Amino acid sequence: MAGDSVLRIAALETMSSVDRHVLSELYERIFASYGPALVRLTACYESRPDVREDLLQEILVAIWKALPGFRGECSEKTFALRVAHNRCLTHVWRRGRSRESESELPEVPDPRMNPEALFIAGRRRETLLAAIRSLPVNYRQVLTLALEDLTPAEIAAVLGVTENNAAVRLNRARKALREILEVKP
Amino acid sequence: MDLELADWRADWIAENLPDAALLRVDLRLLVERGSRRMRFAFAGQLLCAAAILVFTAWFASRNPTLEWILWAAVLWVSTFLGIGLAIRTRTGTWKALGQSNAAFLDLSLRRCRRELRAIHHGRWSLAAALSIVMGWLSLDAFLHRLPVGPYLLGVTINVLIAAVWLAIFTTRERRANREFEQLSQFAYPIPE
Repeated sequence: MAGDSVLRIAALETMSSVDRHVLSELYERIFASYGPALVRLTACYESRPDVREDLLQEILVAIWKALPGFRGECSEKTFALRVAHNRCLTHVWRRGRSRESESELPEVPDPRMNPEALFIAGRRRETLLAAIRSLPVNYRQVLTLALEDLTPAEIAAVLGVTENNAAVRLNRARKALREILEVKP
Repeated sequence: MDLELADWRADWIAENLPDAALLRVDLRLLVERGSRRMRFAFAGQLLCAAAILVFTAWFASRNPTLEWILWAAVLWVSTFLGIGLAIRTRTGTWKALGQSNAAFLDLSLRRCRRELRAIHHGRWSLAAALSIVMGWLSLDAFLHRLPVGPYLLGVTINVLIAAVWLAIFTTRERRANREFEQLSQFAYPIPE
């Protein structure tokens, strides 16, 4: 453990100022390019604006911490979204242990949750978000990534599953979302 | 073309988002969470200390022999030392010196280092407590010819729990310390 730490620090010491500059640029670029996607992502995992802001900050800090370890094995988008999804999962797990989680994050989709009032108000996006939030986490993951225009291969890379698994999960998630959005009381 | 997905996507990206340039890491959250954890931990330690003090005083008053009075005195002294150490560990780490990310990172690092030092003290405290308990048990067994088996089992379980807790805590703090050090010294400037 101590040896590993020494090696890591030694590796970082050898990092030239150019590398640091590159990292800074990469960091700025990721924020500028995928910041909106991260904001949208948090909205699917948290409905309360103040907690959502905290979750977003957690994601930004996590990306900031993880960036020195980014070796370019995947795209920047995949990297940022993978870190973000991991933080969101931790958030869901933490909330799952809290009291209010039961009412806000049902494990099974409930078609009756379709918020018609939101339709009437013309807030289609809010309706979509509410519907996605009512889905199980594994469906939410693939859907949010698909909505960010990721291919099944990219989704698989973010989630660490096979492409086939990602495609199947996406189909099921879409079916579940469709059912929720189509239900009229 | 997948019209359904395209339709959802149009709704998905319709929100007026804040300018991406405004998105910045804010370590305030990290510090606030640490402060909350510190407050809970400190309150827990105070409660445990109070429970130990009350229980030992009550027990010694019920069995006012030299042995139990001495035992209570040792526990009282140890408890006050422990509380003193807990206060000293946290002194100067409750608030950041500024409201910048650099100040927050500095505070996080200071907290980590203090915790690691407290863990170091904890190891020595555990060894000292173990020595006292073992010495006491040996003397008790010698004087009263008591079976030491159940006592030894109890002590072993307690020591194991303490050792595992210390190991987990040490690993966590070392990892956090390493991350903060890398970020502050070697990686790249903190975005302000």
